[in-house]
Amino acid sequence: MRGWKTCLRLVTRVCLAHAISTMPLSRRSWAVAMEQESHFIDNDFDALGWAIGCVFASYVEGVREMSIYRRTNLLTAIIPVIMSLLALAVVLAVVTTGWERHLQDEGAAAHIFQLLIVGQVPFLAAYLVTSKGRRVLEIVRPMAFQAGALAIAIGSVAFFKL
Amino acid sequence: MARRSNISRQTRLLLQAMLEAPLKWQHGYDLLQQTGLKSGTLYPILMRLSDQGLLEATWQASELFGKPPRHAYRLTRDGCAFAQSLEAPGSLDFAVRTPAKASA
Repeated sequence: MRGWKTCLRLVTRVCLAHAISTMPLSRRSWAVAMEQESHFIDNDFDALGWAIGCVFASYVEGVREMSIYRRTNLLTAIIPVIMSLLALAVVLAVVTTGWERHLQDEGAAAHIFQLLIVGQVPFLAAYLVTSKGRRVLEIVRPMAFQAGALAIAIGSVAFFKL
Repeated sequence: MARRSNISRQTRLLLQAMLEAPLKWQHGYDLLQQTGLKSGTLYPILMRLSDQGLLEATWQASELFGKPPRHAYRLTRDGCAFAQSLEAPGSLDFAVRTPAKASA
């Protein structure tokens, strides 16, 4: 039980450290205040809940401080990943429910899948445009996630021989 | 002074809690327990109110041995006036949610 509590406190501390590091500089003292306050919470679960809330608050503040340009960049980095995951969900729905498997030609599922994949192109273009002036590594990292999600979605079609 | 945005239910809840002891310095966790808000909601509101000059914050040395200093908050004069104006009868739907206060 004691080990479990120590583990919870450790996760709490990691979350709070993350909240401090992600909080914009102008708000950093608030993140420190949140971290300090956690020392006065006796219940380990409450402290963990507190820490998760602090991480959320730091993300909220981070997004608030971003310019429209940067927000667009963030959004266009995330949307293709979501679209790939939705495409994967379509594939899994077809496999698990047998949806449209009896069709000789492409059905709605195939078209939804294709739209979800092709629809990523404008977002990718917008991402690259709004990434102007950023370091290459910063640009490539989200693209690696996008490529990974895309590979999983397309790979699943090949894997299930659809 | 920063722009005052629309007042959310959570902000009203916090202002109401702070108005109960307007001169007392209160800590984040105490406010969380009073209002039932989550820390992820509470602190962004505190930051906004502070930006708008409705709230003041200070660091206080802990009374407990071995514990770090705590950030404490209280309403400014403007903050009190603003919170009271929200509580006034006819001010949006605040009175509906706090019938005891509204009838007092």
